[in-house]
Amino acid sequence: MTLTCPKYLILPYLRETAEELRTREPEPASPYRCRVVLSGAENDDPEFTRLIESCGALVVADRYCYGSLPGREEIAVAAGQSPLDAIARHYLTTSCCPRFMPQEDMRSRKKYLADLVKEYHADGLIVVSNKFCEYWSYERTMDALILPRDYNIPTCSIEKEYVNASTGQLRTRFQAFVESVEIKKLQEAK
Amino acid sequence: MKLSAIKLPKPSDLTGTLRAVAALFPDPRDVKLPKNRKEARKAAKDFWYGKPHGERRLGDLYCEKTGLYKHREWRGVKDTFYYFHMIWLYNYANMVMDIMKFGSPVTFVKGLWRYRWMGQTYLPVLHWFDRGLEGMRGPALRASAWHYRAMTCVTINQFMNMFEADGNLRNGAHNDAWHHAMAHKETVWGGIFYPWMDKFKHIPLEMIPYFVTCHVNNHTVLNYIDAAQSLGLPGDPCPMCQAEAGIFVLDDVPDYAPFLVTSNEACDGSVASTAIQDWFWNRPLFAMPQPMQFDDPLVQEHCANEIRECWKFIEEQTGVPFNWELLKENLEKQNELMRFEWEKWDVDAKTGSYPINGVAQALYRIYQSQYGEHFIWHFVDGKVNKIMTRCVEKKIDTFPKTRHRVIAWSCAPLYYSNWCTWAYNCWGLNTVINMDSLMFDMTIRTDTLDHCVEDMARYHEWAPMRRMAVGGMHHIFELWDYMERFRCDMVMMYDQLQCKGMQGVVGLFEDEFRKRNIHAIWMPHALPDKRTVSRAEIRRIINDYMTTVMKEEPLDPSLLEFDDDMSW
Repeated sequence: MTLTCPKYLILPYLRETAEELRTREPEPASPYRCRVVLSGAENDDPEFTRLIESCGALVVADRYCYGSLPGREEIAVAAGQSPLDAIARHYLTTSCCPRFMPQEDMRSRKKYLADLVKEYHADGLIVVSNKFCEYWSYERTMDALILPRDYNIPTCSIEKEYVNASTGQLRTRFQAFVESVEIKKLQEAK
Repeated sequence: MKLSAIKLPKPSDLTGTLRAVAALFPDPRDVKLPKNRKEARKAAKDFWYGKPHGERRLGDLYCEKTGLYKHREWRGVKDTFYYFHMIWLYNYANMVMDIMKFGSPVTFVKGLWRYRWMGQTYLPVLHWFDRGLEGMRGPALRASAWHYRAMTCVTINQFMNMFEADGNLRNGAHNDAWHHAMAHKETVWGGIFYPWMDKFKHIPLEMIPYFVTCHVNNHTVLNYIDAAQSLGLPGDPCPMCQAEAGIFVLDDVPDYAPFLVTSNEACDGSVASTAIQDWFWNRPLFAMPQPMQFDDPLVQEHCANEIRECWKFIEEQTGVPFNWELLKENLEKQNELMRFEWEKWDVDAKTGSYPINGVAQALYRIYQSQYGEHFIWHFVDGKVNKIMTRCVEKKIDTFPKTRHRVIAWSCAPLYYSNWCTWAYNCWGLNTVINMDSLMFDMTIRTDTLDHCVEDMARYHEWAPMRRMAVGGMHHIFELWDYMERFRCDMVMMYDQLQCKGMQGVVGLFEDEFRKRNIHAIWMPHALPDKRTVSRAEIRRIINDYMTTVMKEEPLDPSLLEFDDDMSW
């Protein structure tokens, strides 16, 4: 537990939630039509995720600059190592930022996304880049080509502004993507 | 093909063609004969020496809307004959001789046929000379032309090396030359490969397919930019990196080497385009990124280690050990080139007898320092040294119509590198030095390997865009020192519209220009992409500044407005 969430304060609520989970009835059917992994550049606006979900795609994992993944790994402090050094090393070894140039890093970023889709049982991938971000302009372009071709993952490629604008156009794109994923699933079922 | 299928032109077509040809020549009725002895003497003088700058009208030489010449410029008897024999004929002959020297004509023709960038740029090379050397006379014409000769020779050497090793021209088969070639991004300095120079050839990946083609034929690169964007790449990343990626998208890259060394020179776009190149080329790759902000001593150590790691990678790939003696030998040769460059700068800064024009200075220096050691640089420097020494000894005013000494700063428009020739001819703006020339401003110690690697790291960090565009305020503002050193009273401030690094400091520059009371003209452009800001627009911006702010009259009004959009 962190300093902002002391153990003695949060535990009663966690127990209450655990109890509720045991007895809660699942919803009869998911309101979502497909599951997606969200990947891309800097995005700290939850409204964007809501926008995608309002179009019928449940975001099951996200890989943003500030996203959830990668970021849940343990930061190991080796004997004699300073915590600051350990944090710096952790960032350098786990980051998936496209500014890392070694060949194995450039290639493993694609595999990492494919693994996320598999691990979270997602049906597709949405890759988003912010206007004027050079790294993600290229990374998004390549993801949109490589992931469907080499990993057979339906991919929706979006270029947007940093702020949540043009939501009408984006909604159309996401609705179309959800539909295309559904059609693919139907075709596979045949 | 049957003979009957050949269509002869109709008489009406023939008449039209003849009229078009006749239009290229002056109407005999417009030719004014001298009326008196004074006019006859003047006409004879103009014939002998060429019309003087200020009286001549170079814009009248262009075919309308093309920027192509109706006929060659008359520079006076001596200079016209020099141009014909020692520039036009000499360089055409050498363009053939160099091909024979560096490979076989059959390979050359195959390459010409296979690669778009090659087919579209080989023959217009002499027009590239013409554009850069327009209006030049005497020693300025001769010394600048020698620089062009060197660049042409190195270019031919590089593409012939590519073609001789190219698997694409041999149905995918890899010959001995392929196994003895090392590919690197054009922004990786060639000196990194000196330790293997006796057995291997290092060939920059994009130097010829992208960089050189932009200068020679500005239409060629547009196709590559469009190709990159056709994959879904947005239009805002650096167009240089887009074009470099587009060459791979269109499979217009020779398959000439088993591995690749890349760099981050000097922006995010370069890093990102490396990823796309790796995906298309799919072979062992070593990335050698050097930090943009490099003044921290810890960064020095890091950069030196990167170079050592790169050497290990090359050893692994080639199976040939690092050769310190070979590195030393080539670095010492390169240091000679740097020492001569310093002499040139000294003459440029302290006298009015510097015989090299702005475009030759900039391009030669960037080719030479980026590619590294080559015999032609020494040969040409010898020729230029003789010309320059004579100019200094005889105190020849090489650019006599100079009204302003201009320094050009930041990254230049590749499709209009010869703007400075135009600016001198039209307005007397003499671009005496530029940012690209001032990069790599150092010799490299060869006393110990540690010193050598330390200096090589520094050399790499001092690449132009890295040092003076994104290397931090201290380096970007080196401009003021160089202005003083080269006695400049005006700045041509390049404004690469898609360079995020320099866009961030526009306001700071504007504040400083006002504070220091410096005349600066902002020249917007998009590196290789002429569609964003055309050459005509660039000229219009300079014209506006010169008339409205400087309140000056042009030296040659025929050059103020013309449409050269279709020109190479």
